[in-house]
Amino acid sequence: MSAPALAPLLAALGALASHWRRRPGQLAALLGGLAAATALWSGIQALNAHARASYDAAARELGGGARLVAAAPGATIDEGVFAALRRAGWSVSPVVEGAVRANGATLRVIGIDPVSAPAGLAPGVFGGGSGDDGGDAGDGGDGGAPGGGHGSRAPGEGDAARDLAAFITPPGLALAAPETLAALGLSPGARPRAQGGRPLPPVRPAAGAPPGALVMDVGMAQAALGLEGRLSALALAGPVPPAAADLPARLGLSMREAPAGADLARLTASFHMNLDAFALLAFLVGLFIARAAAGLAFEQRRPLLRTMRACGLAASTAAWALAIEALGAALVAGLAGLAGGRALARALLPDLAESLNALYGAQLGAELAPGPAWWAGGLAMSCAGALAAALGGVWSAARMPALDSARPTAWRRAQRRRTRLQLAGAAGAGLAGAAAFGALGGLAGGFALLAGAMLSAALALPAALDLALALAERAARRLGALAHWAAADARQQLPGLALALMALLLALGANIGVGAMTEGFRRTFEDWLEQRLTAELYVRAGDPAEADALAAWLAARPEAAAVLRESEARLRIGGWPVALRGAPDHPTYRERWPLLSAEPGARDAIAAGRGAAASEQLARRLGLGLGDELSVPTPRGPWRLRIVALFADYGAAEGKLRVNDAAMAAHFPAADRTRMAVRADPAAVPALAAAVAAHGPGAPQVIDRAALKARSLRIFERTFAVTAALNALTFAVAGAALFAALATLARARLAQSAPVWAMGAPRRALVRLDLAKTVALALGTSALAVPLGVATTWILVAVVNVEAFGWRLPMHVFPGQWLRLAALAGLTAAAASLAASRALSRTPPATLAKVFADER
Amino acid sequence: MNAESAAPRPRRRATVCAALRARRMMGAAALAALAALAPAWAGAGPSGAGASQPEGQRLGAAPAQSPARDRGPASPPTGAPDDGRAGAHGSVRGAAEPLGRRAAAPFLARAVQGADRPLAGAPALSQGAVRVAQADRAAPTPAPTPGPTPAARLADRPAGAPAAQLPAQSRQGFAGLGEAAEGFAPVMRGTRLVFPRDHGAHPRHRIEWWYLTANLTAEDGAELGVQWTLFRQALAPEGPARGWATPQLWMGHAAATSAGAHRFAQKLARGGVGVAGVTAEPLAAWIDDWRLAARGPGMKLLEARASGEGFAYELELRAEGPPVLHGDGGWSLKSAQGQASHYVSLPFLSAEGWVAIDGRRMRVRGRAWMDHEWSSRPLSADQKGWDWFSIHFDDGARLMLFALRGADGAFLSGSWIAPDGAVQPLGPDEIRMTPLSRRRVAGRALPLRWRLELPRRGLRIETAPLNPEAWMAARFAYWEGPIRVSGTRTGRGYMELTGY
Repeated sequence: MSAPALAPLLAALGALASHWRRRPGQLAALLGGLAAATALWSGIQALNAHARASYDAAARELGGGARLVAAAPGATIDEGVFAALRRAGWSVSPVVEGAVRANGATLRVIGIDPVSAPAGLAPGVFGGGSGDDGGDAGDGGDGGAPGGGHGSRAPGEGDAARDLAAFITPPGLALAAPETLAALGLSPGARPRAQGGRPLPPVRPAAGAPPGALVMDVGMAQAALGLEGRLSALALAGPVPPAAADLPARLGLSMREAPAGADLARLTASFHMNLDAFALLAFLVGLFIARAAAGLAFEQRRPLLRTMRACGLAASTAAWALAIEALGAALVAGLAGLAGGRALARALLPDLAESLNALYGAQLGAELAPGPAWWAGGLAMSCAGALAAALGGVWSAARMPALDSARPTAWRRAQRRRTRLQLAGAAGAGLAGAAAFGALGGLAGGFALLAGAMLSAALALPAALDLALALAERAARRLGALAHWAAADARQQLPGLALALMALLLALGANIGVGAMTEGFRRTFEDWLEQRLTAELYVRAGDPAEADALAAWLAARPEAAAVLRESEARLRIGGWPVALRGAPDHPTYRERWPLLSAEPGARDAIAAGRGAAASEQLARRLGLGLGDELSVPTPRGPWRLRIVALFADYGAAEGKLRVNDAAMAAHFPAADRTRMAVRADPAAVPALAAAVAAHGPGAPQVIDRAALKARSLRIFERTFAVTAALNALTFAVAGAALFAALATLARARLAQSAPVWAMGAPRRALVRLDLAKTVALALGTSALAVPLGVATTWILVAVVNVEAFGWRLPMHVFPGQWLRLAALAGLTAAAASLAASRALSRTPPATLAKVFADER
Repeated sequence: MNAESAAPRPRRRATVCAALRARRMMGAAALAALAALAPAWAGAGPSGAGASQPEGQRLGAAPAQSPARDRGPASPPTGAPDDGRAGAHGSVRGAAEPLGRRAAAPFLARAVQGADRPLAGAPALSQGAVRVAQADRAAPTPAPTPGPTPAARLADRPAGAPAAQLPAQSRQGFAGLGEAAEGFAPVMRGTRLVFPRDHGAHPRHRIEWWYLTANLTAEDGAELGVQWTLFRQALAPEGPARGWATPQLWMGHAAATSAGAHRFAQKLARGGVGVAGVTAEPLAAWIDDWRLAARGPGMKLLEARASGEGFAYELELRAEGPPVLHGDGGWSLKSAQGQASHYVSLPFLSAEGWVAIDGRRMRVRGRAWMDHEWSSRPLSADQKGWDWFSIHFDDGARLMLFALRGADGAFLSGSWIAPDGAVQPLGPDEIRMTPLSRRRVAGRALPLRWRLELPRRGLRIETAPLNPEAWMAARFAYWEGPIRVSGTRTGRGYMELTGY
């Protein structure tokens, strides 16, 4: 269409706008739908972008490498290596880590050397105003007048320098997140004592410190952990000097990637894709609302358009006017949606951050800062959505004959053709989804299949409901004229409600699918934890020597029935991070360790050191099956292992291989052997745990089975918190769509109700019938949502989950959940229809009679 | 959620991230601290007077004539808190000194820029940093100094003029170098230096450096210069603490300069763990993979090597003359108030080796000069910076001169070193130093050409920089580069300008 003249365009826009003035509810539905769609979409995009930016930042901080020089897993490094490497040109910085028990809690101690930190880094926890007393942070916690510290010193004195001196010279400083200090009941300047009475440095709050950790100078950390002269690892902050590239190897060390950068991006890619898919679904649901409102508005404005065309308005100008109107709505709704999206992202960020941390060890920054691209992208999505919603109207307006009749029953007439088109579309979408799944495979294919199924079901919904209503109409014939009319009227009403019902169907289907997947996962996970956590106590010592002492000490305790020492080495196989775990051959594992599948004699093969059990996700990533051979790189050359069993390892991002402890010791002499599981009389567990925690200088970490299980489940809940929130929001949006559609239909339906009233049906009966019809439609939609939901569950469990996380879950269905959702849908529909029905019940008879006078 | 990963084992990945994050957080502070080397240690404000008293007394006893000879104060220290101008002026050679506000402020300003990075947990820091940065900005740059221009002061100052009232704002001298140093060993006149022991580190003194400069010629005749410097700064008086708790910080500067290029690098390290340090027998000074060390016993043969972005060098240095003790047996006066340092030089080094600049490696030979200086309070409170020269004359004599710019003029000193190594201290009334022209380098007007005169010796020479852009844009910035000398004698040397 060509560009229109301005004056007629403005006149047309003014006339079209008058419609919205008379129907603010419809306008609200249109804008609300677009805004909700934009908000859900852009909120998730902001979260994903933020997470990715955090990974990138983490990678960049380390000079792009995120590399560590480390000894064998679990082993420490002599600190002389630090100087040896530096003097050979390696830009390394020492890290000491471990745990201490203090104030009744286990705290991670992180020792760093601030001086060898790479240059040009961001500022940190050292603050202006910090005193020599270690109590600052400007929170008034030290009782000093705010800012008072500044005045007491000459300006310009180097606070940072003082801080550095305080940090590295005795007694040092222990920086901790304010929440950590609050949880421990420590005030700034306090000196907690680790077990064994060793005092830790005075604490100071530092907002940037990791939760649950004390960050202190490397020397202080060594003393606190009993690791004098030892380092946990060396972080590499610069390029490897070519002339001394092999030095770490000659010192028995190896380069490792700290999975802060590329690995994180890779491991979390699936997680973010899940979120993207959800965002898209939410966007589509919001779009349905907008489409419903826009479509309805167009139908209702057909007479107006006809009149304007008769007055000489060009068809192209009418189409332009509608398009401009849509874009205007898109801008308004888009901006509102972006604001909402930002708020949504902020609200969800803490949960997301915890999920990513629990699953992948990823650290997310606390502040969202969406960039211009995000704003532009959100507005673009909003505009695209508005145009999609208005496309039908624009297209029709451009082709509308000047003398077209203003058909108030046009929906009905067009319905038959539309139904055929929708059915064809449904078939097409289903086939396309299946084809895409076949062609793409993987996670993208899974989502394509899911999208195809959802779209197909949505498009088929009107036809299915129409069919059901036709059957009902036939049955109702026998129940009397009023019932017959009601059924026929419901069919008549269907096209107007179709889009809202489609949105409801999608929301219900997604809810059923995601709910069943989540709930199924929870049950499986709980069962699995129950079986997997076979020991009563899990202990980790601070270093190998302490572990030996602790194991010997435990073995001598009568209440400890068995001490099962496990060893661990971390390596990469096929590019994936893998934890190799060695465990002794013990009935605890033989009898209770759950396996997904195993070869006959698998336990014996593992005990003999010939075989390994692989975690499900590792097997899937490496394409391993039972009986396959795997070559594991070890310090003593490749170790060929036969995969004799597969086990579930829900929630782990890295792959795992389980082998016999003794065999592992032969191949990894320096493996980390600080971890042990303790079988004990359950009644003696609390006392034993306390005794272990108080044992030795290294403050072993100890956790009992119940606490471990509770912790695991809590992490689980967090992981699905975002999903659950989106699910609920999607459902709310669908409810709003239904409400909006019914509200806008109410007035138009007067023409259908009036004749019935004129024939003697009381208004009250009409209201009851209306309510019944709406609830019936919602329930019908719910019924159809069940197969869609089950299909969704299957796709999520069998395709998406496997691709995204590497594990497959048993398929569960929860009929109780279906009933709950159906009831919820019915209630939503009833509530939505109530407003419209109330309007009908209060319509004065004169208005009803007037319908006949107004009828064209 | 995974049972194994949820088990008590530390989540190493998270830990590493956290550690790195924490390291990042600390990094800024570390650098700021090194750069600003420290108010913290200077700590003791007024009380330091006691420690430094002996110097003052000694000064009184043998005032003006004591040849101050050193090159400038070395180190620096403390961020002259109170004086905005200090920031503007100060800097100097040493790492140690460095620290002044001027040194610290640019860094802190950077830190502030970085403050919006996600992690930064540090509103408090930002405030502090901003405060410092603002203070620095607020301070006008050199111009406002009342009184004669530096040039005039240098040229016309009556020798031995009393330190008149100091402007209030310069109470503690440039970069706090003038602050007292309670608990540190004082520099005592009459201390007999013993070698090789005194070639090594003096951790009981607050500040110390080993400073090598070399004037070299490549095979194609191109002139080059090389600098190798290691600064030591004690955060606190040395106590029984060892290992990581050792209160010593080290900073290295290295540079290679040609007529068309100037490349430099900086390194930071802590003492006590072997990453940086100095031993005396045999001499070995190192920080990371930079090294200045004797080959074999004694100081006959040394080697120096360093590398950084765009440059690398390795030199073999051969002593062709004796060590030189400046001032009174190595006691070098730095101000009329009595601040002093111990100052020893090896001015008779021949150098041979290679230098690579921007990928071009050249065989070189030439002459080098090594300084070793230590003190606990090297500057008086009002001294804002200095101009220092070391010159190899073609006839074999050597000359060291410096002017410490104080509130009421410059404190001049130097040493005339005959070809046979005989040293003659030069008093303030024997020296005239006149800047001839200034040039803007790195935003500062630097006096890059000088006339140096020793009227009693009939010496009248002019100096010109090989590369005017030899700016050391380190945490604290200064100018250090090779010069050519012409006039009644010819030669080559090095010039250092700080505090501009």
